Amino acid sequence: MSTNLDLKQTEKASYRLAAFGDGTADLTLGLSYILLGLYPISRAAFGPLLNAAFFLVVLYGIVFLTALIRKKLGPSRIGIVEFGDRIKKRGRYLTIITAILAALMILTWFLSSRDQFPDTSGWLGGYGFEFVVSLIVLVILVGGLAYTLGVRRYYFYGVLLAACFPLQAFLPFYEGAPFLAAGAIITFSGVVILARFLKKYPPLDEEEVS
Amino acid sequence: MADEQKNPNPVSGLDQLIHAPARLNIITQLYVVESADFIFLKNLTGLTWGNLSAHLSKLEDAGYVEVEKTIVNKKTHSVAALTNTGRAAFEAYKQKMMEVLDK
Repeated sequence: MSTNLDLKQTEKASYRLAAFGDGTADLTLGLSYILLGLYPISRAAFGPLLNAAFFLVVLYGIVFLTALIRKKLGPSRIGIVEFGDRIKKRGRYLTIITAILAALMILTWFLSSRDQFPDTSGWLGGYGFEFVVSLIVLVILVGGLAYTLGVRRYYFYGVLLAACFPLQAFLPFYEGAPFLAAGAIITFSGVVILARFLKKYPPLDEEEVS
Repeated sequence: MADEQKNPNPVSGLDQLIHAPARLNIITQLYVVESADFIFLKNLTGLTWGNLSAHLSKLEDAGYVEVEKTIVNKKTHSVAALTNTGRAAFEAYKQKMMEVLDK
């Protein structure tokens, strides 16, 4: 047992365990990447506007499903913790930034569906401005998480995400392939973390000790 | 200076209730959160149920920690939180410890 007097690190460690310990955040991210990889197919199938709606519905489905897994597993295995004002304030900032960035994404998808952007197919492989904005949004969120909370594997995820963009522009075959590959890697990582979590933290019942 | 001559061992001036490694671990964990249940504390401190409960009782008796017990699905669920006294005591301990280490 070590006594850790670095309070910021202790706080981060508590938050990491509560928020990222079970791998469900990785699963959310990985499955979202896979969804992004399917974007060209769904866009061809549904058209730009319907595809944006489809994308959002499935994305929220993924978020809901992983949140449900977390709620089912977390309390009995790692317990329940309420964080202080500093972390809550950071959470609020993160929520506001995420909401602004998500609104920006939706706006660009909408404008794109109305052909409000110039043709960028020459350098984007046919997938326009909304794709670039979505990528920037995800890179900011993933990088921000890695930096502020010290979840180091998220730097790797950020690199994977950044690499997807140039790869999809230059690959001669299916443009969504890099995202599918990155999504599969991150989802696999999430499954491994979840399996380790289940092994390391069996369900506990509080014992009465007098 | 006069204090040092009377009390040459500066560590003896530390709050011994907090200074014990297990209790320092518990109180540090509680200091960075608003509240945590016993399962979370057990996982983070690595203590056994018996140890955790015993140390929390001592901290509770000193007024440093507040424990709220509820029954959820016929099982006891205990949530611990630092009191204002506990928070102040830990801050004083931290200050004292830094002074000791700086000497």
